[in-house]
Amino acid sequence: MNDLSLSGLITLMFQEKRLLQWLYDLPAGTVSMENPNLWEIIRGDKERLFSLVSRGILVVEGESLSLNPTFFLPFRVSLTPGQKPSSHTITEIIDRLQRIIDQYEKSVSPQSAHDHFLNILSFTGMLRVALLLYAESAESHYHNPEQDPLSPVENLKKIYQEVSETLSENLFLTTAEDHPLKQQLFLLQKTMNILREIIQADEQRSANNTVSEDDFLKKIKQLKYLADNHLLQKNTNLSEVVSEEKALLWEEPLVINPHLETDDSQIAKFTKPTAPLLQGGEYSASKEDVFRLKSDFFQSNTDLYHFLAGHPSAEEWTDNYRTHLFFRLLSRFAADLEILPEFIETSIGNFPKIMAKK
Amino acid sequence: MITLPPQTVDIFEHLAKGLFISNNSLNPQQKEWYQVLEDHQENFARYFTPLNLQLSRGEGYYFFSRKESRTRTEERIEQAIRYIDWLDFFKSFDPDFGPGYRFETEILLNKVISDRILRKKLTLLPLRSNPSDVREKTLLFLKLVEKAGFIESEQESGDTYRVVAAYAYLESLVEKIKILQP
Repeated sequence: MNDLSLSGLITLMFQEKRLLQWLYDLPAGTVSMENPNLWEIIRGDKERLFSLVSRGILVVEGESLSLNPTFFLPFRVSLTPGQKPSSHTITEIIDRLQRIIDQYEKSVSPQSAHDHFLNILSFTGMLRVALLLYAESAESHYHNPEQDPLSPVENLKKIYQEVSETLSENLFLTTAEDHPLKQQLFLLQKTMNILREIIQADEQRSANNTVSEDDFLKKIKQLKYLADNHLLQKNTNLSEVVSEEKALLWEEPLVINPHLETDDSQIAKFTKPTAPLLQGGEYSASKEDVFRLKSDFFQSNTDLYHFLAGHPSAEEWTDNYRTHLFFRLLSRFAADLEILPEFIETSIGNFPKIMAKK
Repeated sequence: MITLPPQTVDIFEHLAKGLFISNNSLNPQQKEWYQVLEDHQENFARYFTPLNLQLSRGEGYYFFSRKESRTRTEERIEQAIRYIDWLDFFKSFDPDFGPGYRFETEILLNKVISDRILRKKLTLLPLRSNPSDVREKTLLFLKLVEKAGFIESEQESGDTYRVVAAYAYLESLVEKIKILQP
């Protein structure tokens, strides 16, 4: 790998995702350089192949092209559609890195030591790729419960711990003098810092949500306890809170025809079926009748509904006519009437309790 | 002259019942009303003011407010206790219960049947009729909360419910209450 830039590597891998996926899926593992599908995929652009070969992602041997086996793992984790690296895959990379380091230390020839060292470089780079991809998925709260039963934060913590231990406890890595390896480890450490920041941010977010939810739950339980023990008014400001609530939710249902004039709408606390009765029509009472009734009502000591219900002429009135009279009186003499916040429940609807002003 | 959309009467009649209009309602008509309210908020406010009604807005819901209360504080306290009972029941069923939450009636029923504490809470919920059958009472309770406009049935059969935005009004009520230290 000539270019060890992590972002460059990932960008390239994503750009050439189709080609890499195709190569990865090839049963034989290699493909002829003359293969028409290969050129169709890269649209005849040799530079695209060269770019992958120069970074060591692809290997050219004679007339054949294949994927660098050291990249199989990141390909598997990053190129499978809809799949992101799992914590298990990253653990696998760490294990293999450790095994290669062991093999390097036991190398019997300079050539095999050289090969193992190159593999170490590849695997540290691969680890960075996988970590970054994993961190990216964890940050966006990607979570596949079938693969990763733990939450993204928990998995990130676990991975971070594993990689930290590998880096700090492996003498080969801690004492590395070789410049490319030192550069790789430096970049790996930077990736670890990104991971740590994501863990901290997620933990903070998680802690905030938990505290807030826990507080809310706790408060409901406390309020419920106080209510059950008749201590709610004594131990809370509930009276104050409910007194200040203005929502109509706290009131008796109110049905007002918005097309009525304002003065009427203020008093028209009647149910919809009775609304047409206010308009008159077949139930229209004469002005004289209305004034006579008003005079009688003001001399009585009862509310308007019961006054009309108990009126000597009530037997001659239908329910609708009585309702019509009720609202005629109400709308005509509203200024002289007191509308109480009480309703009289009847079979034809709820009537506001109306008294003559004293 | 205030220009109002044709939905005005329907919106008015709905809000005047003390109900809410939620943006995540399953009722397409209510969703449309919410958008109409968003688009004509100022005109509505001006129109309703002479009727002594104020168009109020919560997070994702609208409702009517009135300056002067016509109900006694004692009645309101009783009502608030009912709401606390509801919240306590739902939060005991699932701590994540809140606006946008979906639940299947059967799952709630199974939990009520298997969870002694939840069953007791249900038993103590004041309902107009008080059936002894757990299923019947649960369904009655859900219908009551649905009628109040805090949850909506996703299917006519009432198999699945969704908690609408207006439920946040009840949560905000709890947040306003301060527990005084003895």
